[in-house]
Amino acid sequence: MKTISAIAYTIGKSQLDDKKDTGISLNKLELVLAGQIKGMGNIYRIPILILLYTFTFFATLRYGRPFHMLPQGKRLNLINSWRHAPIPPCQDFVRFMESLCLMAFHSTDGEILEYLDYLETEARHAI
Amino acid sequence: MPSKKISTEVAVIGSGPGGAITGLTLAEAGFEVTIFEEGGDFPVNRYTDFSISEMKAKYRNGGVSTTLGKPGIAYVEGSCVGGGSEVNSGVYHRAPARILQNWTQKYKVGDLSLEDEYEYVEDLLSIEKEPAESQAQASLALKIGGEKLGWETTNSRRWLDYRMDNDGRTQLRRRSMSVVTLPMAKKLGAKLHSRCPIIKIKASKDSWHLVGRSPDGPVHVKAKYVFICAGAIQSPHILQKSGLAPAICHGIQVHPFVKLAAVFSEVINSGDQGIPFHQVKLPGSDTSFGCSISSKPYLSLSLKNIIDQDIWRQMAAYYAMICPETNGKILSIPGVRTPLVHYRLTQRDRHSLREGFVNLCRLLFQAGAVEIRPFFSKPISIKNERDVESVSSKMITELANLTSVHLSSSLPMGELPSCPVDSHGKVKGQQNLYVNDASILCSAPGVNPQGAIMAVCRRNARHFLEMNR
Repeated sequence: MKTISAIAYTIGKSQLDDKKDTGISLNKLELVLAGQIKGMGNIYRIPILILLYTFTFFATLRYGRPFHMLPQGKRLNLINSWRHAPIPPCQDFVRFMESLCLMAFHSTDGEILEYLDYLETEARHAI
Repeated sequence: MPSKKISTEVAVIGSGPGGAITGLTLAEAGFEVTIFEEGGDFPVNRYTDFSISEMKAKYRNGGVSTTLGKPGIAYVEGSCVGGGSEVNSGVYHRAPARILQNWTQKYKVGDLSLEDEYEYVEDLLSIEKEPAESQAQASLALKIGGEKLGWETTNSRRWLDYRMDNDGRTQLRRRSMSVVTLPMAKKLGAKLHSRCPIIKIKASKDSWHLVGRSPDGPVHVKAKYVFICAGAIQSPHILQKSGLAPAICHGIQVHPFVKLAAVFSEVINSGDQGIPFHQVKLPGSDTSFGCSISSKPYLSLSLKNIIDQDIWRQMAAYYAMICPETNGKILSIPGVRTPLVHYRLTQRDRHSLREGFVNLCRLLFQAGAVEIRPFFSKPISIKNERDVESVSSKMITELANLTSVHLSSSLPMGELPSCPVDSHGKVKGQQNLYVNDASILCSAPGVNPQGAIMAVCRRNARHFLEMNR
């Protein structure tokens, strides 16, 4: 969850620096990303989680600290290195995260509230 | 947790176009019908159409599903009460006559006259014979381009309409299964259990035993007749998990879409136009062109870029859709709930996609587009028709983010020994077990398949009534 949150903040901040017309706040973005991963079938969620742990491990190996404890510049470097990595799953992982962020950025407040409302309803059903 | 026991005469698994029409037809005839739906039951306008919240609530896997194979094809399936009818474009087509002829000849499907069934479905969903012309500029661009090139251009019939609300915003109204068909079935006594997936089925002495689960715990159902209507992926998967079909099921077909955004010099995208309805047919082929969802979130997602406030209203998303010769596979892995879909395009399919892409670009430049931005994994800008020729089949295969929404034909009907169900959807070698949904279409129809699914399923349900009265 900490890595998802950090990825959401990093992608969010890098996009928001230039463009001011996005409606979603970064903490809502983090909830959308986590909600999306949680709702996927195992066959998709498990590879994403494996890549997520690998990404965290890679950050620790490279900078000596987990991804969520790194400064913004180093986080961006890591994301860019995975984006251009010769291993397709690494590229797919970054594209997947970015796609979700972009879709969420451009959704209206109302749509994001509907999304969060759905997550709450599902949590109640799970109980 | 205590298990729930249900006894019914007919169990229908799935509430999409196939399941809903089956349930309604049998309930009309006085059968005791219980419909089981895996997804939730949401009022039709609870979530904004084509939004991230609708994807999450109504699509399987939150809208994130892809085939294995190179290139992967992202696809979506509805997973809620009403199934695909709740989330699809609302475009209505009858299956082309030559496709039905092919099913009769190649798969030996008996008695495939669907005229009465189409009329019933069109009346049920209030589909206009002559729909009003879509006035969305993005849609009209297709018409202009198609007419300039002399290609067949149609204004599609549909089961939804757009109306202005009091604030002057466009509201989409679907006449989907949850709005029309399922309430009618319920009035006739059919019961509907949402959030209740059926995991597997077992034959017992003179009935079927279905094992499912609901939020309250396990569900055990005893039914004399079972109709599996869970869609082209889930229906074979239920049979696979029940040991009634091989672990690798060959046959699924999709319509692969290659998409792009066309940029015009003036505003053409109102933002709330939904899906525009003009479609263009490429002469001498099965390839067709249409306009896709062009909301700002979808454009951003597809172009992998933040889009400026100013430019996105001059852009719209378009697709070229092909009818591939390939059949994919559905793989059921023990212990894994989600089936895998493997799909590999042939050389001819790749060529068709490239031809479709190139001709779509031509059409849009004719319509006045000033730039094309393909939905590729790398940003590419095409400024004129000459540059389009440099796009190769290899580029399409390696860079294009291919998508699909029409999945069918995983359990084709027919009297050929290789067809797992007979001409009316009865599972061969089993008593009182039927499949009645997109799975049994013998091949992808080359158009939005919902009309064909409903007509074929109505036909099969009526045949069941004739045999079991």
